Amino acid sequence: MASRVQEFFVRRLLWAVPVLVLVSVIIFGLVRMVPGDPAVVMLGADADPARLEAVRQELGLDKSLPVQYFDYAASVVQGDLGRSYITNQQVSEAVASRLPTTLFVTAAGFTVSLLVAIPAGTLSAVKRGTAWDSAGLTFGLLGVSIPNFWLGIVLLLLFGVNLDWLPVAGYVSPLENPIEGLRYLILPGITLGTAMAAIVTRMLRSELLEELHEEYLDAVRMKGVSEPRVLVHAMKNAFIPVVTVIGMQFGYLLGGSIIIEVVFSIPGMGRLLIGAISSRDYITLQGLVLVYTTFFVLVNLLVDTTYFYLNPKLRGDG
Amino acid sequence: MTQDEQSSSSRRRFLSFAGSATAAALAGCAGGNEETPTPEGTSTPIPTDSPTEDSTPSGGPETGGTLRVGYESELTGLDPHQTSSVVSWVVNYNICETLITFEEGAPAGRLATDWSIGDNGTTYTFQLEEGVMFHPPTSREMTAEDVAYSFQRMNQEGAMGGDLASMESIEATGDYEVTFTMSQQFAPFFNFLARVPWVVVPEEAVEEQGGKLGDFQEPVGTGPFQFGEHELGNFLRLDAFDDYRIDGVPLVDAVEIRPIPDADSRVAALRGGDIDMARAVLGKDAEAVQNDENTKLARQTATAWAQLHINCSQEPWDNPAVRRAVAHVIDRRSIVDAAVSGYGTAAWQPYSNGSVWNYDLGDSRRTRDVERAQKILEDAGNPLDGVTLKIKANTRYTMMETTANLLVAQLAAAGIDAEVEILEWGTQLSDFVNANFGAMAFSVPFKIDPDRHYYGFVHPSTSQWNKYGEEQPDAQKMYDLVGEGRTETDQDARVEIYTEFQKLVNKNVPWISVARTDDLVGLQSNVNGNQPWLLPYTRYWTMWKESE
Amino acid sequence: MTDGTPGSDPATEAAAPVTTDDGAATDGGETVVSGSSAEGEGSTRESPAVRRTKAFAARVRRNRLASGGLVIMSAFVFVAVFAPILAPYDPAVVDVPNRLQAPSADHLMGTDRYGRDVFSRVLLGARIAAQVAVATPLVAMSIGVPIGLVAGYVGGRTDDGLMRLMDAIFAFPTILLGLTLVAVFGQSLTNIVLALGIVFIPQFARITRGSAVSVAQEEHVRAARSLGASNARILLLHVLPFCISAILVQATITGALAIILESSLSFLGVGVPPPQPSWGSMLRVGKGYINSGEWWYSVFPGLAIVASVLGFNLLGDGLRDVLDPRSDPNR
Repeated sequence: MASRVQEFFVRRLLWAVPVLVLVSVIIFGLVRMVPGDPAVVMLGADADPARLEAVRQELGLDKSLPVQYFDYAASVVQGDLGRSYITNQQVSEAVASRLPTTLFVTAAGFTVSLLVAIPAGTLSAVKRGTAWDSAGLTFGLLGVSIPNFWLGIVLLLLFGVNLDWLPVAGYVSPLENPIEGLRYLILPGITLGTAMAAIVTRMLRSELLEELHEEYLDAVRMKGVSEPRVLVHAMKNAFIPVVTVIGMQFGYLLGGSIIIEVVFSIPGMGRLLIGAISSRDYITLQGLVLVYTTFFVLVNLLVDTTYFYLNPKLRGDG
Repeated sequence: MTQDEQSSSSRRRFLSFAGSATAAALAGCAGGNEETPTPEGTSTPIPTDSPTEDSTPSGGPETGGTLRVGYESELTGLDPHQTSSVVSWVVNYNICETLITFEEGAPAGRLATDWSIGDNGTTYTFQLEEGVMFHPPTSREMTAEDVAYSFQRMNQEGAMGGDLASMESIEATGDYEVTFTMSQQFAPFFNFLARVPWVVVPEEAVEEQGGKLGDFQEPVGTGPFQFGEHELGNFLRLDAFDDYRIDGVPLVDAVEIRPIPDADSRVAALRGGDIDMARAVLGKDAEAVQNDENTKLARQTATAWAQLHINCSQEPWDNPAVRRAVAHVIDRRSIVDAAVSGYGTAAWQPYSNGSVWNYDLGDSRRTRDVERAQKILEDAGNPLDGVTLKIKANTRYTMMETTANLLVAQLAAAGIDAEVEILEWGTQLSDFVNANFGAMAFSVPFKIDPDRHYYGFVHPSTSQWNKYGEEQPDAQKMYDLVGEGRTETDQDARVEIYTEFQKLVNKNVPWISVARTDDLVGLQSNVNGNQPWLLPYTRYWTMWKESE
Repeated sequence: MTDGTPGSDPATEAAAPVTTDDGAATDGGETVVSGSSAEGEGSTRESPAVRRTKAFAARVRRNRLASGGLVIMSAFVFVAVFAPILAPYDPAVVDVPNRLQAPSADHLMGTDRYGRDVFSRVLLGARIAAQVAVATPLVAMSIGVPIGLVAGYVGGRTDDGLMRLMDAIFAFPTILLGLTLVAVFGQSLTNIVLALGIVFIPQFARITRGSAVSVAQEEHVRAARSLGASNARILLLHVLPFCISAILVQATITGALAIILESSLSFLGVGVPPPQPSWGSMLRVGKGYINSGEWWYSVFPGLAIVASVLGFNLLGDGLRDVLDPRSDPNR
């Protein structure tokens, strides 16, 4: 079986590669489409024409587009994402310094959402038709209808009254100071994780309901197995498709973390991205989008492989 | 010697040169404290009613601690000779030093102890302080050679543009003496010497970091703080320099700078105790900072000049009647209220009352008078019939955004069709540079020398940001005036020249001045020693934290 | 804000590459097919498609969620259309002396920083939201559905290639793609709708493809083919009708996501340019007034967003309910 999983993983990995190439072409093309001569952006409009030309050559702008792309692709593969005209900084350095922060924010959202969704979804399914269920369903519906940045604002309004409870802006790395770091991640985590929590709650409820009424479980019950154990068994099976949804939601979390970083002033990749857009720092923008997307593709790859591993039907076993 | 004593002695020495009319003129020292005082470039002292600090707590200054400052934008590039962002300038002002500075409105020495101007204003000779040390790892004494090197570096391939275009040469004419030779008189030169990027750095440190303009990202200088650690995007730490030339300063051990671009978060960080000082507090948050018992507000008036910048070569703005009419429609008070909650003042020129460069326009000011505006347009044959005026602005700066939005509403109420075009700041700057606009809401920081405000806007030998072409009324006269202002070395004569110029500006409206806005800074209650002044650099070395 | 179909049917290996696929349409399509083959078999002259649609509409009306959603959406559309009439004040008129007033009888939702009536601006904001919510799915559909049809029907290399392209687009987190596209296209309502439309193409393509793949194997389709019917005809008459209901569900979901995405972009400052009263840009400004106590500035536009998105989501849930009661999470 392990080899089948490996086989699947490799197959999917091979499929992912052309997708990533396509993605990089798209990004490259998009960025090139933006109006404005980068040399002018760098030096100013009234710069000496000879200097402008020299900078253009230095940046490789005088070469044809495909050549520019291949140069770019080649350097990306070696880990060089270019150097920003605006900040004069290596993009890979900028990304590396902020990546852990963004990952922590994303993880915070992820954790909060699972902490809420698993109990909520399970409760909703088990206590189907009761007030618990209604609450769960309402949460499921509202959670996806509230824009996360507004939720953040509302939380800020509520907690802004008493600033000492939880910090409303800024960031401390949990690696340096676990307790402080966690405090700074609570509000962002809640804000980011709510929508995903709603989706996973609905999903889990639906899957669990189906599982709980499967015939084979009735048979198991008749054998005298206690309900909690039946529940656990059902959950295991229900969880499998939920895993896929969770993986899908990672994309949402990644994208959402951009806004959350802005709302709570967290110095992660997202804030860098927004800054790059407003200062028209296209090199940095390009690199960041590539990093976000690559992460997303890889995570999906992992999630799909896990799903394949977990799902007996797909594996061809059960 | 304390810093106070230092500057008194240099002032005394300076005054001994005051006999030389040239020196006095250039320093712009007119003395006299007017009734509505605000500190202005080169003349009036800092008034006591501009709320700066509470009286120093008894017990006097304490040393130690880290001053944590929240900045309004990211630090993009720290090479003092190349960076163009205000926040980097502030950092560099504390790490590196200029030749001169301003104390209570009058020039005083910083690295220079004395100076003389000769040859009819074309040579400047500076005596430098001895025993000034560079930070580690350079750790040696600064000499005249370093000054010469620094200026040559910053101006390589004409990088300094018009500012140093007239500098023919700079030479170390002694171990502690340096001489600038100008190809022609350039009155603003002296005042410019107080600004970053004109700071002194050691060659070996620059070379070690790459040598090219832009490479010097861990600057080494002679200032009270040395470069400590820079975690990009996160924080920048400056450490106190033990061998600083003035004893007893700086008072804090370190300054930690954190970029917090979001204004609300910056204020929240201050109120939450995460930072000790928050730069660029917006007018709407001022009250909250003042009312909070843990924080206080420091205010410096007239640090920026907001205006409606006009491209006088583009229709319909090329018609003077249109410009005059708009100047009579705009409701400045309204804009100041809405944009900065009153932390500013309606203005018809960049310099406030009390400054030598301020010309009292009196009743000739074009004030809000909608009827008059409509009459002007009628008399000119209704050039705006069927025309929609477009005013560009951005959302990054409240003042600019509000000016555009409210002006459009005010024009509409006056029967003139107008609309706002909101751009990204980067795009707006680009449009500004390329003259791709009719009118845009704009704002510039205070300039020490009027030449800096007016010359580039008007004179055809430059980019002429206003595109005030020859065919515009009094154009040649205006070119001549700013040209003279540049070369005239007598202070009083200069004042007259710019007064003439302002009269013509009021008459022909090449731009419309809107307001002078204030700089607001939030501080923890226990932070003292902050000395706001008109230059945008915070002087961290006088600040200290009272222990709880 | 979600990246895929909210809480829908489990992904199946059946129709599409097993990635971030939602199998909703596949199951939905199949259900409708199987359901109707019993109904439509040789009874009337109406084409199966028309009968199906009628039955569908009836079921929608009966379903509480869907009708609830329809009510909200009708209110939303009504407000959007009649906003200028409903608004008590001209939303563009400034009144600086009365700026930042709390909600009162005069100003139901208070005034903003220029003294403009917030209630009127919120009403006008519905116009922008409505345009975005309607136009975005249309754009996404008009490109995504043909792609899916062709891919599913033709299969082989074409299928592969097209779906790779879809995967490439799908590989971007939604807001990231939206941000980048707007940065490239420039800010205007049209460009935003275009950008958002592109973002949502893959979902429509996948759903359509899923249905197309299964329908392509159907007897009557093969029969039509062997009789020499043109592919276009087949696609339009036989394949497309089966996908319609799933496409509809996806359209409501896309509408909801579009509203959220547009307001997010406007909140970040890269969305609909001011002075157009997008709810997102109102929130952007409103956020700055939290500390000084002007809460209405950041609460009401947000509530408007929630209300309109809720309408779309309710409708979407209800539609899914009607299509496939079996796997509906709300049963």
